[in-house]
Amino acid sequence: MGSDSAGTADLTERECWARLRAEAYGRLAVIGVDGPMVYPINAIVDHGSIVFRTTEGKKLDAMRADPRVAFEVDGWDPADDLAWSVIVAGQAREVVRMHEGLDVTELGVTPWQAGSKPTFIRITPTAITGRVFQRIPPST
Amino acid sequence: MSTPDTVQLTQDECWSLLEGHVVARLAVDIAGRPDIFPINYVVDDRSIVFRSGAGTKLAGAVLGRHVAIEIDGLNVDGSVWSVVVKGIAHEIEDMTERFEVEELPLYPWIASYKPNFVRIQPELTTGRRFHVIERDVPKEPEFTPSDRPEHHPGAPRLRPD
Repeated sequence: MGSDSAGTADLTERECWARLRAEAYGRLAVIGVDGPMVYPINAIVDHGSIVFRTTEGKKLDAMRADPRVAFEVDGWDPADDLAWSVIVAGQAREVVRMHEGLDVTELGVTPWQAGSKPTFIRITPTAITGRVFQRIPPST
Repeated sequence: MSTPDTVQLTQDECWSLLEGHVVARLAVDIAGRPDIFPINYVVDDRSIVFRSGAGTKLAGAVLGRHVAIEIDGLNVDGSVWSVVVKGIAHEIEDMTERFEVEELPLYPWIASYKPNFVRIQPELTTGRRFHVIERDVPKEPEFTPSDRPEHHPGAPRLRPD
């Protein structure tokens, strides 16, 4: 963990992956036809990539039009009052190869939303950054 | 994306949830590439106000641009809700407006200097509630081999549900 003057510290890549593995729930940002959009997703780490399930809709349309996405997870540790955030920038693509489909069905990726979610998406990271930061207490 | 299990939230429900939270994720478009990060925000007269450092890459990606913020959470019944506000962000420069927002209970998580106030004037506010399905495993308590000759225990299920 690197340090910083403003109460924040960078996480190493290893620390980022550890937090991603521990926290499957995150938010996906894509650029849609009318600007950026955010979707909560349940994802899982698989061999250095992020995998989640989805179905036809604006989210999938946006990723087909432009596969660049950002995935973020964050949390707060009440013990030391430190908040943290990990952001993965990457390329999203549909899992289409049959043997890869077999692999991802065994990952146990649980979608948040009920209903058919037949499409698996794999995000191949191009950059991963994370940081922890001290929260500022409300001034009294 | 709408399924029979998805419930659209009313505008009042969306703003009530927004008023009840302080951390959102802000999605921005940086030269065509999406980026997302957590922010502290406050609701002011059905708009979103947050603080930003001056002259940062973020400021360039946010001011005068379309952005989206999202909050979400878990209900006691196990359902998940998510609220998204889309709109154009602008810096609060008017002195009167600035004095007003400085009174807002807005506490950034990070101690770096954030002198600027940014307001997102909503163009579209949407919310939905949906149920999380259980683990994605076959539920076949009454399984008998004769009923399901194609089933091989332990085999991955490729067919969509």
